[in-house]
Amino acid sequence: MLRFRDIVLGTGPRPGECRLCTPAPESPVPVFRPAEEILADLAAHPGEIGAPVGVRLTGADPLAHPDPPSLVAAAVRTGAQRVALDTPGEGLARPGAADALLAAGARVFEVALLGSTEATHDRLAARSGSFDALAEGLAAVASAAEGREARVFVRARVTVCPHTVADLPATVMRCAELGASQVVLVAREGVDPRRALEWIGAACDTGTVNRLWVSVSGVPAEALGERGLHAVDPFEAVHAGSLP
Amino acid sequence: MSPAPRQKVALVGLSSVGYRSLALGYVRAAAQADPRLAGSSGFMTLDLDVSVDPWWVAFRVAGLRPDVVGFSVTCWNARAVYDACRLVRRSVPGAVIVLGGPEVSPIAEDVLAANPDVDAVVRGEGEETFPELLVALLRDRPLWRVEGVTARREGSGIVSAPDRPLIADLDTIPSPYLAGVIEPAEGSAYIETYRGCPHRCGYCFEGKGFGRIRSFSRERVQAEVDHLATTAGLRSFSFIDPVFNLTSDRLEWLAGMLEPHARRSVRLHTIEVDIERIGPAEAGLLRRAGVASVETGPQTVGERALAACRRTFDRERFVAGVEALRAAGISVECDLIVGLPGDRASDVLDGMRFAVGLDPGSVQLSSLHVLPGTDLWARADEHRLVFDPEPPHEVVSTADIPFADLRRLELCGNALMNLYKARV
Ligand code: SF4
Repeated sequence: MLRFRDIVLGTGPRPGECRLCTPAPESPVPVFRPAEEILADLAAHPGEIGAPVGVRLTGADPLAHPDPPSLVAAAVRTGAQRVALDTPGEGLARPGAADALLAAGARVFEVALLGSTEATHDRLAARSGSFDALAEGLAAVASAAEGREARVFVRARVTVCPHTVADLPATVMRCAELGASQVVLVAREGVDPRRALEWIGAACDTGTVNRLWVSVSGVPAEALGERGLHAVDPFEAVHAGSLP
Repeated sequence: MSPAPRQKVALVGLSSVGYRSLALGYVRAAAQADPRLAGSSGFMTLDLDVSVDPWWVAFRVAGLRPDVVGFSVTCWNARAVYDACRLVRRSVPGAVIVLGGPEVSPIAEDVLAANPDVDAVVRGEGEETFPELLVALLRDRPLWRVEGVTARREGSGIVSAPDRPLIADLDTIPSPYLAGVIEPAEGSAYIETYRGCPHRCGYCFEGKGFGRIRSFSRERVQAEVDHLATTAGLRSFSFIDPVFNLTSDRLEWLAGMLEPHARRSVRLHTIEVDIERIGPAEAGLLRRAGVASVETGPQTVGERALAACRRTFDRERFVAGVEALRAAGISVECDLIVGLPGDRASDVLDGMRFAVGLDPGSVQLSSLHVLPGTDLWARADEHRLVFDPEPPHEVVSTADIPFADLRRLELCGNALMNLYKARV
């Protein structure tokens, strides 16, 4: 419903991928496109005044970029009122990082969680310390937002795969505790939705009773049955070329 | 030294933080000005936050040792008022407890039946009825005979006296500001220039309960504004009129009256407008009046719900209104209601898309409250509207949207609103 234009920063591991399903790429380090190219992309698609189109920095973890606030500031300069960062979220824990991003204009943080506990998340992400860093990073965002009286939106992406599925309700609960504004359950290609539906349904209901909206992506609304509304995602990602 | 009044009257307002009950101000100003009560009745007002513990409310009331306690009741404070009444009855056993306001007025007999600690309900406008009730108490006459009052009659249960006609000339009501009964709260003063509404939205009490439009005279409004403008620390006027741009003529008058104050940075707190009647000229007048933001519909874009609620919606004119206001630097808050009869989930989502797509500045989503005295309350069965019988009477399910989906729509909508607010 609120459109975000994807600006691809480069290539790298997709945040939130389950490493038991998808082995780490040979080079786990993100490779960024040249800065001029990224800036040219941003400038080619300015935000229209009066139309709520945001920019999402994606493709490679923006927090691994040498100067993330400058990317955000460049997006803001093009007129984007909302800049979203698609990131595993661990980099937010670096001292001063969250505040610098907010100062530059970042308002939407799309992070990834793979399990309800530190042990599960770190095992599936194949990175020890990842869960704690994410939790710390989100706390830093909340505190920076309070200090700057800024409104931020945290969208927690949870991959649905055979290794996460039974933990989905508890993971949604954990997202609520970490201060997420929305959860999106992303069914991985190849997952048999019928087998996962019961857990997805329970995860949606867990969100509802905790006043947290859970969207489901990758499963048709009809398959969700009486929970079909969970196919609605307020955040609409669009490719850079698909907007006027 | 003047003798102690025979009748001490405590008026209690339980309002949101930073608000004062204008209704109690009117009622007190009217009662104080009534010659039959002069010298025999003394008045005190307690303005408390609705979240205050009912024990503390009772403690404050008991400290005043009142003979009569009056509460103004809306759907938002009703539960708190009922809790307070229970404790006031026991801590000040001899006091007569009287309620008034839109929540209790249309269902006065039910309220008395459900709340044995309440003695009487003032129905409709209180500025004439409440002083009459106080006179009846002084003269030991039964309350159930007072026009506009519902009360207990010994041996016969609950009795409603006939309705009292609406006050024909609003200028006969003393101004609570000019009478010194209330002062601006937190730098803001409420002003009412008329009662009633030209529209008849099914979920609203204003149009149905107050019927035709009755205005305060321009001289009276001007006198209130001039008086308030001299109050130290006044930062904004808050007009509670249902439609600020009721007519072009009134809008021009208001802009002219408020412009000098706007120049001194006294702003207009968010006002309600009929946005479909706003073009560049009207937006310019609002700007002159010091308006920084306005509140408006569309409430829904679903044709079936618009018909069920007797509302109209002209998409093009609505968009033009938002654009004119934006061009004048005025922010717009678009309101949407979830759970209107006739709306399907897809209509609610369309409404959200429409409102957010306009990028108006602010979008507010709330659930339907089926309020006593409204058309939807009266026709709830016909519409198959299920709602909480307890205030604030939130909708539970509709003929088209089941209970669980209404909750889901609220959450999805709130997520969208929060995403919308997350901007530089
Ligand atoms: S909702 Fe507004 S326009 Fe409709 S009747 Fe009530 S006050 Fe009038």
